[in-house]
Amino acid sequence: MENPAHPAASHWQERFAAALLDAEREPPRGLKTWNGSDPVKRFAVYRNNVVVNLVDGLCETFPVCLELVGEEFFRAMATAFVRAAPPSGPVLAQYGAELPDFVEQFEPAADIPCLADVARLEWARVTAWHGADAVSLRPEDWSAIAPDELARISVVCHPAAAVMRFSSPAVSVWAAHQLDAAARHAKPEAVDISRGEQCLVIRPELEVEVILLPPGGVVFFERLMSGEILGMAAATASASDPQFDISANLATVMRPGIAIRFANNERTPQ
Amino acid sequence: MQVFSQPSAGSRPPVKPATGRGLPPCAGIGLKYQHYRDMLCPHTGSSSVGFVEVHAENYMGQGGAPHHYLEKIRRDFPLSIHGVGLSIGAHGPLDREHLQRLQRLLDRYQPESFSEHLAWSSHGDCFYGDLLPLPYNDETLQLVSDHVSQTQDALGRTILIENPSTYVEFTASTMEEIDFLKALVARTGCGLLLDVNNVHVSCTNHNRIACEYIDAFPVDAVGEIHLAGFAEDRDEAGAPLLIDAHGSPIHSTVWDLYERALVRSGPIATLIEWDSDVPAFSVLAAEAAMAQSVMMRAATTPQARPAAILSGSAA
Amino acid sequence: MSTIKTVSAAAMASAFAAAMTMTATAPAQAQTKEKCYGVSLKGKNDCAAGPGTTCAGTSKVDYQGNAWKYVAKGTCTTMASPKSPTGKGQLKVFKEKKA
Repeated sequence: MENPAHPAASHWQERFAAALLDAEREPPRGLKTWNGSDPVKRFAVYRNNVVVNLVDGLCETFPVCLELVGEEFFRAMATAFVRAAPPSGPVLAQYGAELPDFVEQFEPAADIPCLADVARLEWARVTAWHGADAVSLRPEDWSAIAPDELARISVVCHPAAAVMRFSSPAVSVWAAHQLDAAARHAKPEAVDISRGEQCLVIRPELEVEVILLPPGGVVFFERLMSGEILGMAAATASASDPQFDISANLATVMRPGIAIRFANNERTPQ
Repeated sequence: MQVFSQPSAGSRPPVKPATGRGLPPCAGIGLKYQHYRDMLCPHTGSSSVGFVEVHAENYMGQGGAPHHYLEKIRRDFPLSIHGVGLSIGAHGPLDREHLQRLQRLLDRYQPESFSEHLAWSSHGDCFYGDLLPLPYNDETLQLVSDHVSQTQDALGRTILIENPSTYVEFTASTMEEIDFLKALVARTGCGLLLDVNNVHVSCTNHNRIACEYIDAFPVDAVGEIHLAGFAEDRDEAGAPLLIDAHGSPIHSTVWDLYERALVRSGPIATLIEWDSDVPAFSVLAAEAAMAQSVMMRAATTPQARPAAILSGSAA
Repeated sequence: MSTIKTVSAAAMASAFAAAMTMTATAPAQAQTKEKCYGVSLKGKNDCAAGPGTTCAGTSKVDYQGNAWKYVAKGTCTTMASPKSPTGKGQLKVFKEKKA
């Protein structure tokens, strides 16, 4: 930590930094003001900048979580998160990955259903937004495959695509908050909170999309993304859930944003 | 050391990055994602924007919309990349990984200018997302000079360093900010980014006279000017405490200081910064047009430095 | 589990034919939003940029608040508690307007 070339600097920056996130801590000595006023008030500008800038960023990343608990609660929770886990680097698009786990352990939010899972979904959307680009397979690419070859085909998935599993109906809750206010008031819907949901988060071009997966779909897509051939992935998915519908899931595989090329076919994991 | 204390007669030696082309001497805007489409649409008045500036750290993801739009916009506009996370004033060593990310970004977009701040923003493994102040003395001068030189070596180009907005001063300071900046330029060959709003904010906060600061600023080293709005607060004794908030129109006092600087310097690429409560594109474009007209007016005042380059490249 | 190896080529081929038909008709279902499996949702804002950087300070004041002092006042307060008297958790995802 100590920079041998500049030993004196470490001292005050260490204390300055520590006091930024801890309001109980004294600001470093050696601050002055032209009019002799208490420098604590001026130091508070830095304290405020740090917390508000980071909390504002989290509000942008987790808009549905914010709606779920209200702004006052969310900002207070995000402030606690910022103090507990400030960013480790200057690329703030990467800041917030740990918020869902924090929310899960956060006592005041314990009674709020789905909050941590909705945060996971929102974080997955930001990750997909910044994910690498790739060109998806087109319908004609799929048509070019001989139908009886299909079971032995495996695909390379889009680098921005992800499969998410939740033990709560996080996808429906998130989706409900994408409707405008009028639609929300007009159409209350009940969701069984004991039901877990799964989804795909994809970014075919520039926009992030969320696809709620039908029964068995999560197993199918997890297998597919790990490089398994379609026939095996489908068989495993059927075994995991009798309601698994091969056609419906294949239709999803062919959507833009999921498969970017056919891999070499004979590869079967294990 | 005080090589820039007197402006020399004749044309100013331009501060050029390694690419050989600096920013054009006209008004630009800070590019926000809300305005990506406006910048690509001729009906919005985007063609009158002289250049755009982005924060380096917002373009360090792998792909998607940010790079998609920046690539398109960059084809039509000169580009400034402005770093907010290198933490040049930190006592610890520079973040090598971050320097590499910057290098990749600069290689990809070939911006006309790259700038950073006279500030620190990280300590150890923590990044604070704010520009934190330094005392100005021989030790910090050595530290900042080393870091600026290392950065220029790593990036293979001259960089601009921006004067900060500050809210406290240090008993450990032994020199004025301007003398610190002049010495930094002399030691490292870096250029400067003159943030006129920061001048007004810091001078108000520390009871200095902003006009004197502008008059003493080493304008020959300036490669870019920033303009922005501030917010007002009060300190413990009730004295004005200005906050560099970038969320409002540019204040008339700042416009006046800007014109004063331009009369000394001649036309210089000038950025409208607006980072919070981002307004409609037309509001930014109007601020940029205002800057452009101030630049023209300053160039025609009797005391003005020669402005031959202005007529050729004002859009 | 161990007996399952793969779906037969024939079964896959016919599923594929059906899938092609579905792909062709999928956009018509977009109105039904999340109730329809396989239809994607893009999110309210077309932008999920996440936190951006700033080189500015702020005049917005941090409440320095403690979340445990606040009661959540968002849409979740219209959700029934998981410890509802019915025993089975039911969650209203929209703000309910009871006549």
